[in-house]
Amino acid sequence: MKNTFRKPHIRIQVFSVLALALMLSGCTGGSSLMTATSWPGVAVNDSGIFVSNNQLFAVNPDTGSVIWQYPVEPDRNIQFYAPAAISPEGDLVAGTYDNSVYKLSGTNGAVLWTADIAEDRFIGAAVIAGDLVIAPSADGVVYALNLETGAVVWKFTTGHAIWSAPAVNGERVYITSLDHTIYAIDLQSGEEVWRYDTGFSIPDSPALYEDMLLVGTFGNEMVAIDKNSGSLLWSVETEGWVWATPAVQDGIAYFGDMEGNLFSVDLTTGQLIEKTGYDGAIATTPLLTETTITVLTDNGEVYVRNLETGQPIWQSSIEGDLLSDPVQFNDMLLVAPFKSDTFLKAMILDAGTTRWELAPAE
Amino acid sequence: MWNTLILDPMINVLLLTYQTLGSNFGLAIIVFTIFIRLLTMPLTIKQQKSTIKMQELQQSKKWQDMQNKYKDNKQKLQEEQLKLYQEIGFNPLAGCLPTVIQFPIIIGLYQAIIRALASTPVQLLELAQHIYDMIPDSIIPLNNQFLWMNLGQPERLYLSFLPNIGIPILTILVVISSYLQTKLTTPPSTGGDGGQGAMMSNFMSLYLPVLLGYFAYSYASGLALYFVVSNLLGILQFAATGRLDFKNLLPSKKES
Repeated sequence: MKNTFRKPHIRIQVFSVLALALMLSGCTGGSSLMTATSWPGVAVNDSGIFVSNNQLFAVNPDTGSVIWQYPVEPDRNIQFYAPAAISPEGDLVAGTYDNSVYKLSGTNGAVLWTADIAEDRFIGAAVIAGDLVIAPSADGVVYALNLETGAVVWKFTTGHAIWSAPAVNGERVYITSLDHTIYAIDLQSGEEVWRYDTGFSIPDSPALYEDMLLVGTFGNEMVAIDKNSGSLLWSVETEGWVWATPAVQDGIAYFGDMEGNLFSVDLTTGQLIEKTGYDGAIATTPLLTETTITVLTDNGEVYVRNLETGQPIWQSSIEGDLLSDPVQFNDMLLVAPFKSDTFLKAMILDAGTTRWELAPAE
Repeated sequence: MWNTLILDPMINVLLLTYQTLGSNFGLAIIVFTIFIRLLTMPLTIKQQKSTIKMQELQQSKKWQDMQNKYKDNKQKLQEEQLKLYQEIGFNPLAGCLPTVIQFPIIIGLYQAIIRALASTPVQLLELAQHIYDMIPDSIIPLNNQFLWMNLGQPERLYLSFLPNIGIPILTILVVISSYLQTKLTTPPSTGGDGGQGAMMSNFMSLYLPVLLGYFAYSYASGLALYFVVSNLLGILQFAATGRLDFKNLLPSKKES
């Protein structure tokens, strides 16, 4: 064997095979069988904070300590990234990157049921509507499950992957797909009511405002659609992809684009009110309070500004990429950095000071 | 440097191919693999010629005599081999150079396919950093569906009468085509090195199909599709030189 290796042809051949093995191991991220990574998802209810970051963590809001986690140890076959839906009883429903939906006890993380139903990951969050769980999958199918049992009640198939959470309003489910289309579906039957093709992929959920649905697209525009008829009301051009759902308040929509612009648009007329430039792509929904707007950029900057005047209140730099939507819990602003030593940071919304941070266990 | 010169051009050509072929990523992988194979064909031919020349040399009486004469003195044997190379003007490294040059192209091709698949938001954000302005936004992200496969997922075929058993068709094709390519395009060892070359050749013909089969079974089927197409093209390319010998598939006779 030793002499054979001295032959240049053989040596190069063997080297090539080994290098190929190493290279393939490192660059095949398109598979669900690899360790899947995404940014964390954060969900809150009146009393608790729940973070999906590979495992699903219940976090003590006062101290930032973990109350329970599921699974107890990281498991490459059970990976949560989408924010959990929280039932009125406080239980959690969340899809995983291994094609299943779990219902967990909000008290102790015990598994109440699992539904191994999809052919691809659950990237978008599930939503609870009455006794149904509406769970969209990257296999392009919207699954309606019985909240008590996890049994499939109906399925609705779109033409491409779904990465967004559905919006439910009354008896309608509104879902966006990467097939460029927003669909209105009957909540009880799963039958299609209407569809509207925007011509470009829609990565995030629609925002609801009165009789209007708002969706951002990869076609560099924000589109407003009549939620009853599915007809186009107006559209606003942006400079880059619109990745995230707009935030809506007092007749104005606030949304960012991947070129780092924040837009405010009059919802009645579709007229642009203001465009403000930021240093970094905006891939999240701004957080609105009565007086402030919080904008995250992908390069780790947190901006809190006066909603009316746009004057800066505070700004903070955080290690990691900010791709998860900011969430408010009482007086705290929760941000979940990606590619960071910490995966949840609680800051005082008014002041920007850090209250606690949550890091993976050693 | 790597992204600018290799990866980004490959990703964007792949995306343009996808667009031209009616948003069919399976066809885009096939056509793009053929394109890259054609591009690297001169190097492949040079490598094959060098391998054949080496094979002929090892079959010569002079080489065999030298092996017998210096079988107990490896250092002297190497010196004599080098002398013989110089005498006949053969550079054993000439066969390695095309492989070395091809290697970054093959790595780039793998990476381009994997990145273009972008089946999660994180992967799409990474892909977005590599896309030229000329690529229309309407094709992003790519539609990964091809025949019965989701090219971003490991492939399994479920038949109506076997609904619970997924048959990994592409994995089977990868293993068979890899084995065929290794066997058909690697000339049988002459035994001039005491049988070690044959041992290594057998090792390669078994190890490579198993390795690629494992990747095909476990990872995105877009990659497995590339393996199959690439293997078949490799066999076709070798067949074009007129040296394809199906006897290589038979077990070699042991030397007495």
